[in-house]
Amino acid sequence: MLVNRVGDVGLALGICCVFITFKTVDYLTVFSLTSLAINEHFNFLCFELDKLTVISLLLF
Amino acid sequence: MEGPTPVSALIHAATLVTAGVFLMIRCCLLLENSNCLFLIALMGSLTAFFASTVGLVQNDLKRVIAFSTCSQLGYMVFAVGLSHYSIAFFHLSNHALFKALLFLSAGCVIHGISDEQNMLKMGGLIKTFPISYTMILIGSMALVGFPFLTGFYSKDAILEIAIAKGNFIGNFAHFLGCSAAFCTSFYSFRLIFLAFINKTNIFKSYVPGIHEAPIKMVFPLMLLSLGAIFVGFLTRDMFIGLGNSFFGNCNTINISNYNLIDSEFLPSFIKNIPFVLTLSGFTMSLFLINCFNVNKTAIFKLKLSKFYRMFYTFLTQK
Repeated sequence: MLVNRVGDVGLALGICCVFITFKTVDYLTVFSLTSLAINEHFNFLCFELDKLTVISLLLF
Repeated sequence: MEGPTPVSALIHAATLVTAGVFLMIRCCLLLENSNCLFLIALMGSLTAFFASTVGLVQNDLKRVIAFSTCSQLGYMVFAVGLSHYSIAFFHLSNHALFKALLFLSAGCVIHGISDEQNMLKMGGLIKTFPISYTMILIGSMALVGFPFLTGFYSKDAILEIAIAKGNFIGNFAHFLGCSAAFCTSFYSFRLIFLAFINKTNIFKSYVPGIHEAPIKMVFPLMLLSLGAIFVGFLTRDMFIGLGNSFFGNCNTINISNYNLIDSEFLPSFIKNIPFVLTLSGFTMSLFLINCFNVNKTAIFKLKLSKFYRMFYTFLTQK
């Protein structure tokens, strides 16, 4: 049960990250804009995190 | 994820637990441009191996099938991690067919013997449940990847692209995937032997009530068993055929990650490894069960030994 909850929080965070990056959660729009986000970074606790990597990890 | 048998057939086969895999297949463009595919493949192969080893020692009929679902999900996830989304989807749809078949026929058996789920308290059911036995046999054969049944096409495709990847993670995934194939075969046939073929171990009070499922319950099983036999062959070209446009642009792969062609030209020795392991898992379970029937003292001594106890508790405690 705990694992499920952790997974759910990760998924929710992932969807939020998608929304922050692309300002939408529509599949078609997101995939059309993916190539624009390749070298962009989140700034989190002074770490430079690749946006797409963060999104994929959280969705996973 | 526990539930009544038809519900668990639904959630394990088609909807709930495979939804995450479907999300990852759907988001392939995001995954393909990120750097974490390595991690996904690692987690997937570990899951496949871990779940199949846990499945080895479960005594609950439905729980064995549930852990095999978990192990097959691991296969799908590492196919995603090796960036072959179409193969993962192929395995997902095939797995839905034979897992629904397994769960529903297990439900027929459990219903027929007064809701008893423990495999150790079954045995000899082949005489009273001929149709359910046939269906579970077909489902298990498809699950372990017996040649030319449904599971064979997708599972072997996954293992082949793993070895054809050629880097560390590919080899790692192939090794764990093959071990998981061995374990899968072992516990599938252990299920069949314990529940159907062994000498009966059932409570005497249940015996008068034992009945094969009525035709209403058996008919969907027959449809699903046709699916479990033929669908892999029929839809293989549609899903993973080279260069077809079934997925449109939903299936984007960086060309540097693409090795469907490499996997096609592997030496046949490597291609046969999963099949040989499947056969050896079958032989192993046959051997152990027969040993147990013939020479009980030796097995009893083995069970008292420290190594066996450590091994068993390690597996049962997950």
